[in-house]
Amino acid sequence: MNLLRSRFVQAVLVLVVAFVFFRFGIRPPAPWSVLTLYMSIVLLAVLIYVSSDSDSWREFMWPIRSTLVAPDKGLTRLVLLIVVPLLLGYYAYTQAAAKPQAPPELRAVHPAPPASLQFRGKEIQITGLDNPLRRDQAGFKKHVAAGAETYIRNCVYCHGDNLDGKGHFAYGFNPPPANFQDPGTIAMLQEAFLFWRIAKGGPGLPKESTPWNSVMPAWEDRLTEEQIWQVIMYLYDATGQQPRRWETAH
Amino acid sequence: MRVPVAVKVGAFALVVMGTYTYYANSIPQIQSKPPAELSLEGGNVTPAQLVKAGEEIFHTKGTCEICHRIGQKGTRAPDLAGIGARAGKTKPGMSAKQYIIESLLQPGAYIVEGYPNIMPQVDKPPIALNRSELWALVAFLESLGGNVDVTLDDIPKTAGAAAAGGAAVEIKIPGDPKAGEVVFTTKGGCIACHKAGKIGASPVGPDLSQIAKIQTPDYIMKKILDPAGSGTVAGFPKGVMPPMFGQTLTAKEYVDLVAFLMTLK
Amino acid sequence: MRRAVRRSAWAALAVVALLTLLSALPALAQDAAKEPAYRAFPLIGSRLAVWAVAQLHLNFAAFILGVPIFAVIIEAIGWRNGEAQYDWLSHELVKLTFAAFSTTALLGALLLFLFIGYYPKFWTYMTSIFFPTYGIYAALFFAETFTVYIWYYGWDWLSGPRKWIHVGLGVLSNLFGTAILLVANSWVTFMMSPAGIDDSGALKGSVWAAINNFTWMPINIHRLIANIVFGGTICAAYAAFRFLGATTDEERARYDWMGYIGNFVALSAFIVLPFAGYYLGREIYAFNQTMGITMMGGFMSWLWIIQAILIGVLFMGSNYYLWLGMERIPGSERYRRYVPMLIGILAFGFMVWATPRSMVITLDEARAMGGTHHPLLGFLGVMSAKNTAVNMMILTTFLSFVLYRRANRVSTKSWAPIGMAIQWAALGVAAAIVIFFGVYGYFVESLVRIGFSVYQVLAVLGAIFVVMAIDIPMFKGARSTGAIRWGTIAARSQYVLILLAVTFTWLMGLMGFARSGIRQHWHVYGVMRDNSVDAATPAIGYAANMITLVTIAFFLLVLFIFWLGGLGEKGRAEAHGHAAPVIAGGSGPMSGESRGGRNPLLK
Repeated sequence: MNLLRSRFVQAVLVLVVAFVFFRFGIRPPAPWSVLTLYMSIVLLAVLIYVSSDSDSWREFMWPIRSTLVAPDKGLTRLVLLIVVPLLLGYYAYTQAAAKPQAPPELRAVHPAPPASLQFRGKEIQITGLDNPLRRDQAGFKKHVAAGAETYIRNCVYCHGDNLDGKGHFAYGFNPPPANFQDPGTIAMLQEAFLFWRIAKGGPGLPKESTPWNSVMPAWEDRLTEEQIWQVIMYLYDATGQQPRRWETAH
Repeated sequence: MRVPVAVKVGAFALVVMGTYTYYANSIPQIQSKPPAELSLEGGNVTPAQLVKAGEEIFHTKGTCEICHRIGQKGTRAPDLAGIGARAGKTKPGMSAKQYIIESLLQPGAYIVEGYPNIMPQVDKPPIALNRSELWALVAFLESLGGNVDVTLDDIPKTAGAAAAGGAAVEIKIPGDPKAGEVVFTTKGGCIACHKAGKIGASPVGPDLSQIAKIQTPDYIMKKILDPAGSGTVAGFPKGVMPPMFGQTLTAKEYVDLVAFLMTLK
Repeated sequence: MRRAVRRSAWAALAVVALLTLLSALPALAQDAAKEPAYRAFPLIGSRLAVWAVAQLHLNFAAFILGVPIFAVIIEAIGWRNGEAQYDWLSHELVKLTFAAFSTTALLGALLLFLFIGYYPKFWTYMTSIFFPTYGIYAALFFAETFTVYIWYYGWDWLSGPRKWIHVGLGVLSNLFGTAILLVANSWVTFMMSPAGIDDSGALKGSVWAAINNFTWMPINIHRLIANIVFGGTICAAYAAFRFLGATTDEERARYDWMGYIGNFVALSAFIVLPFAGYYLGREIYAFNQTMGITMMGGFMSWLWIIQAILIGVLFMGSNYYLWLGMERIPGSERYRRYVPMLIGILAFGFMVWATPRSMVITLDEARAMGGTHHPLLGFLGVMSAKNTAVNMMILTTFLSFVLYRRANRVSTKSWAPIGMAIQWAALGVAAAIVIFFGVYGYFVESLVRIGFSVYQVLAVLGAIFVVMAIDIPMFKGARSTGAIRWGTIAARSQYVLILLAVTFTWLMGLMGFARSGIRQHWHVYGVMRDNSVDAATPAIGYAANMITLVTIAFFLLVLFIFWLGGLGEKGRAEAHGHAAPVIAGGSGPMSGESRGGRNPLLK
């Protein structure tokens, strides 16, 4: 009980609980980079808390100070003097040692699309472009159906019949194909963005999106412009998402 | 020993900034490289890249397609298919690249039979290609049936001087384009033969919808006053355009009309 | 001091002479074609040279524009409530500004030389657009310089009944200063979001269209507010520096108080800064989607995580300073129990805000996550969550401030319990609105979601307004539980002030990199391409190294200027009639009287 009252022990406990929560409480596991970021913030907050008034700060510092100077803690000091450098050395080793895996990468999920692209030699302006088939309201059902057919013929193998990125081949790819059901994907994008991604595929990605990490082909070689727009309509219709509209410039 | 305040504060500030710097360096670094562009002036560029760049210019900035086509007769100018092969034989004593360069910089020096002298100098505004662009464009034209052998040194140093400096000099026509549009449709009667953007649809005379992109105000002013003397666009009958606008239009109407035509891009 | 003044006058004259010389430029422009487009700066290259000088110049400009703004505010407060230390502080601040004046002008001239010498083609082009503004700039510079001269030297002359003229002069010099900022911003923003030109890049109509481009107004607002914050944090850091080196209680009390005022002004302006930044972001998207996406989701996306960390540090630091400051106020123990809650909200908001959208992941982690974005944390990476987080952090900081304000006061009004209930309700309602729209944002389309941020901002501002409107009458003539013991604050609080100044300066450098970097390989976006060897935009680590170096250089220069300020004080402060006043409560815990009730906002 007395131990729990100590500021120092409290601080350590908060840190341990936070770490356990972030490490095991978040499913699927959070990436290491995010975990360290969170832990740094918690550490900062804890330090601020224990030092936000002088009594608390003194209480927090007491065990540290006594370990450093008290005559009866000689053994503890010796142990720390050995263990702390070892731990630091181990950390340095883990950072420096070559690992049998690719180094962490920063992958922009939604890279900036080009302002315009060449589609089979024809220039298409991406910025401000809307799906031309949406104007044809009478043919909406027809286009969606045609899009569905194109999807099932071409896309379903990777993106799955539920459009959730779990197609037959999905498990062979890393990172996995896009999950259109996720509100963080197509719902956040304009249709023209999808047009660009489908037409140019993985090779068309800019460097910050690590094009070497995408196997999606450039569909402009296989699909017509109309087919791509139809597929896009199908994607939104089947997932119940709404495409992002362009902001009207003033 | 007491550590001076300045040292303590300085060390603290360094630690703070060092932390930020360390963190910024610890994440994967991405540079934003400019999109692959030919270092044209540097000279290390393959003919294939040059031709590709030239083709781009042909379709875009050069605005060549308003008059010229490749593989079919253009609306106003000769077919350019096979120009690379033909160019060397057109004018005696001139190689293909020399002829092409001359045609671009001094279009009036040699006129293909059946076509009027209407082509603007492409290194001058409004087209205003610079030297690198001219170089690429010549390479592209040579590639149409011939060998690409042009180098940057072939392009005269003086070419494209007007295009340099970032911004072209714009010539201001002191007329009112709105009033000019009225002249175009009413008193001038131009609409009877010419199309200009959304107005007019008559196919009798050439389409003027993009005239300002390819022609200088000088040419337009001259053409209105002296239609026969300024050449007639190929494929259109000669002498149809009436020569009396100099008498019928007032000076203001005339200037307004030119101002209107200069808005057609 | 005198010499510094004369030097600044010379520098100002030099700049004006230079600008006059520049009027010969149109003639030179015709020769520009013969001139190379770029020259190489020896050793470090032209980009780094321009970068370093531009950032330094901007730091100093922000200082000399920001400090007078709050100097005049403080002077006005002192004039209204008749307390000598406000007038002294204001005079002190203008003195610091004065010394920084010449450095700013010199750096500006240096920057100009670099542009003309190393980027001649670019400069010729900018001149072809903005030539008419050069004269205005020079005239404003004159006006500002001379107004500040009169303001500074007329301090004693225009005191007493003529004080209003003096305060008016202060306001006037700030108006001139702001106008200078607006002119310079027009050049910078034109490079980002050019307007008013035709396809070939030539000016179409009047220069006004080029000035009033998409990002001009947002940057004006953003920079103006940021300058106030910057001036405040620098002055607080100065006070902290003097506090730590102080030898007497009286000195400690004075600089403790000065640090508090500096931090207070900075914090008040800082609270609205995120809104101004958001407005700027919106305008960048409106100008060009590609530019917007490059900025937020493209190669710069991680820059915003670093920005979030810096801003999180600023929020945490300012709150921490307030809590530490409460220790010197008897009666503040009552509010200590709120600290864990406040820090919890701040830490949580910080985490949400710093959660990246594009995470740094190994391939194995990507595999485990089932994609390149995390199904759970991905929700925290988008704007909806971040807006909610930052609004909650602003509310929390405001609450800290309210608690600080009432730390040693007990309301004597009979309606106080009701008033406090309404205040809590207002804060609660605002928090509820912020969170509601934050969560609801996930269920609507993006364009609607963007509009939600406006409601969140309004809720927060509304709550601040309601709470203050009740707080001021409620604590009028309140019973005091003891005077503030100025100077007894813990030394670590002064390091927090320095942390805030360093962090904010660094943040300014980072944002400068962001503003300049989103143009990528363009001098003038979409109009004039950067064909120099430095056309590639460097990665964030490289930028951070550069920012750190320049920030160090800036602080060394500032330190030098502060040292100059200290020199002048030693010799002749007494004779000048501006002896530092004694701060009430400074000489001992029991002396003096609480000044709590006199001025509603500052105490």
